[in-house]
This record gives sequence, structure tokens and C-alpha cells, in this order.
Amino acid sequence: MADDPLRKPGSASSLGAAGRYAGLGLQFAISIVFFLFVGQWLDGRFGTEPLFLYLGVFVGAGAAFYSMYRSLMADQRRDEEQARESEREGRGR
Amino acid sequence: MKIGPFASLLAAVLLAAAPLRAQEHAEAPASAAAAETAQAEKVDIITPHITDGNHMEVPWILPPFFKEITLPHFEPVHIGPVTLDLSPTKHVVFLFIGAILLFTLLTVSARRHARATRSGQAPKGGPNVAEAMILYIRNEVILPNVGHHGEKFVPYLLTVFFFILTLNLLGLVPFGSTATGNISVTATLAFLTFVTVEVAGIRANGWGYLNTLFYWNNDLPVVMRPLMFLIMSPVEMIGKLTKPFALAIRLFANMTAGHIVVLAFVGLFFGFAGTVLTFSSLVALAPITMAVLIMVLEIFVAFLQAFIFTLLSSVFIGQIREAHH
Repeated sequence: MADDPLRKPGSASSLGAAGRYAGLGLQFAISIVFFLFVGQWLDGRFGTEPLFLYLGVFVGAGAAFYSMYRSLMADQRRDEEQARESEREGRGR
Repeated sequence: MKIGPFASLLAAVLLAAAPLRAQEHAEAPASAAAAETAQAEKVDIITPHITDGNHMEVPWILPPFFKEITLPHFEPVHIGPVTLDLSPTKHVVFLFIGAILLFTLLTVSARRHARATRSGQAPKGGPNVAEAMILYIRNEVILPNVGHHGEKFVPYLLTVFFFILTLNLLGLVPFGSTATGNISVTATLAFLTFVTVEVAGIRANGWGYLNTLFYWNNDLPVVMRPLMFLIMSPVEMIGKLTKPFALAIRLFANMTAGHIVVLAFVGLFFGFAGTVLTFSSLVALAPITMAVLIMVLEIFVAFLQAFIFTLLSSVFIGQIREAHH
């Protein structure tokens, strides 16, 4: 990639970064609903209504939030790495 | 009869705003509602245009200059318990038209481009346009986002870009139909991207690919590991599926919405024609102007959505290939 003479520094990547997080909202919603149904099923099994249903909502929201946090951190790490790499390249030239 | 649409619209508004009054005069709104449904059936120009079907209109030399043809029907194929109706529909026809058109245009362009390059000249016209678009998508969109050795994914992503672009634009020509305004088409395209992303992840990460599917964190206390595994693994998998789902919905909704807006403006023209008798053609100027402007916007949206689909596919491939970091 770096040895491609035609490649210029990315301009489309900022739009790509925005698109990367477009799925996160949906992931958040579906996670909550998924754990809500898991909780409902557990309640049905053990007759503990509505304990696990409520628990499921919070677990789903928490887990989705943690997953979002992880992906944001990973992206940040990657961006920093890329910045370092391009800095090295700039010095070498 | 000429004030039909307006009266029924008024009746509908009154019906919604004053249910008590409607109860008192039960008879009149009932007949107005019936007239409204009859009218709605008569003037529904939107649904047939945006939905799929086994009829399509083709240009014809005699008035009214179009002809409705019925597409052939094939016997359903039975594979085990599954029955598949493989008869072509309007959108299938446009998928094929798009594919053939694209194949012809791009192979001719490639050949002319190669000939111009051999003779030491810059390519002119079509090949030049194709070169500019291909190089922009390759160098600005695909390679920066996919990452190292992204060249392997260039053919697939360029194909997706040009195929979606052709289908989008085919929906804007007269007698055209937007195959990308069909959720099955966009879902299939998104599924292909999903498979590409996952295969790219498996090839780049090996067994490390399982880390993108399951969550196992060795930094946690031993008791917490299986608990977090059970909670986080479904979330990771849901996150995997929402990306192509959003891709499919985004393309489908954008292509469908634009057409509905244009057709609704064109529909206003017919609405006015029946009511504001003498000024009808003057009044119609407003919706027609809006329809034309939205149509221009649609051309932009056709490019934009093809671009977005390609860009996000590249981003997802790049994301999963770097997952082991």
C-alpha cells in the first residue's frame, strides 16, 4: 500500500469512520432486546418473573456499551499506530 | 366528480379531526370514505412503480408509446422441501440489463484504454471517465480503508460499486426500474459483503478470527471469564450482523424514498388538474419543478449510495483484518 505511487493520503476515511459507527446504535438496541427475551425465557423456566427480564435489559445495555467502548478503543489504537507509522515514513524520506 | 379528490381529502381531514361530528353524520363520511378508497385505487401511481412484479412497461412506436408486457412464468423448481419460483420479475430483468450493460461498457472501455496506452496517448471519452472513477475508488476509498495488501479486494469492491451505480441509474431513465429499491437485491449484496468480510477475517487472523466471534478475556478473574463469555459473545455476534443489515437497509431505503418523493410530486400534478380547473397547468409548475429538482438530487444519490456501500464494505474488511491488534 505504501509503495503505491498513486495513493494519496485518504480523504474518504473520515466518512468511513462515521459509517463505522452507524451499526453501533442498532447493535445497542438489538442487544437489549436479545437479553430481554433471554431474561423472559429464564423467568418462564424458574418462575421468577420479572427478575431476569429486568436484569436482562440492564445486562444487554451494559454489554452493548462495553462492546462499543472496546471497538472505539481499538479504533483509537489503530489510528495512533497509523499516525506513528506515517510519521516514521515521513522522517525516513 | 371533478372535485372528488379534494372533497375526499377534506372528508378525511374532518373524519380525523372531529370523530364526534362524524358519528352524528354517519352516512356522509361513510360514502366519502368509500369514494376515497376508490379514488386511491385509481390514482395510485407510486406503488406499481416501486414494487417488483411480473409486468413491465416497454417503449412502443404507436400511441400511447408504451406497452405493458407480461414476463414469462417458469414452473417452480422443487429442491427437497423447498419450492423455488425462478420466474423473472421486473427487477430481475433490470439486474440482467445492468449486468450486460456494465460488462459491455467496461470491457469496451478497457480495450480502448489499452489501445490508447499502447499508442502512447491519453485515453479519451468513456475510457477516460472509467479510469478516473476506478482510480478514485481504488486509491481513495478501497486501499486506505482495507489496509495492507488491499489489492486483493479491489476487483470485488469495484464490481459492487459499478453494479450498484448502474442499477441506481437505470431506475432514473424512462421505463426504468430500480432493482436496488428491492430489499432482496440489497440484502443479497450485503450478504456477499458479509461473506467477503468474514472470509477476509479468517484469512487474516487464522484462529484469531474466533476472537471476533467469541469473547474470552484472560485478564479477568477465572470466575468472571465464562460469565463474560456468555454475555459478550451474543453482543459480538449481533454487532457482526447489524453491519450488513444496515448496509442493506440504507441502500434500499435511499433508493425507494427518492422515487416515492418524485412520484408524489408528479401525483400532485394530477390532483391539481382535477380541482383548480383553469389554473391547473400553472399550478402544476410548482410540483413539476420540485419533481425535476428531486430527480437531479436522485442522480447525486445514485452515485452517493454506490460510493457509501463500497466505502463501508472496505471499512468493514479493513476493520476485521486488523482485529488481532
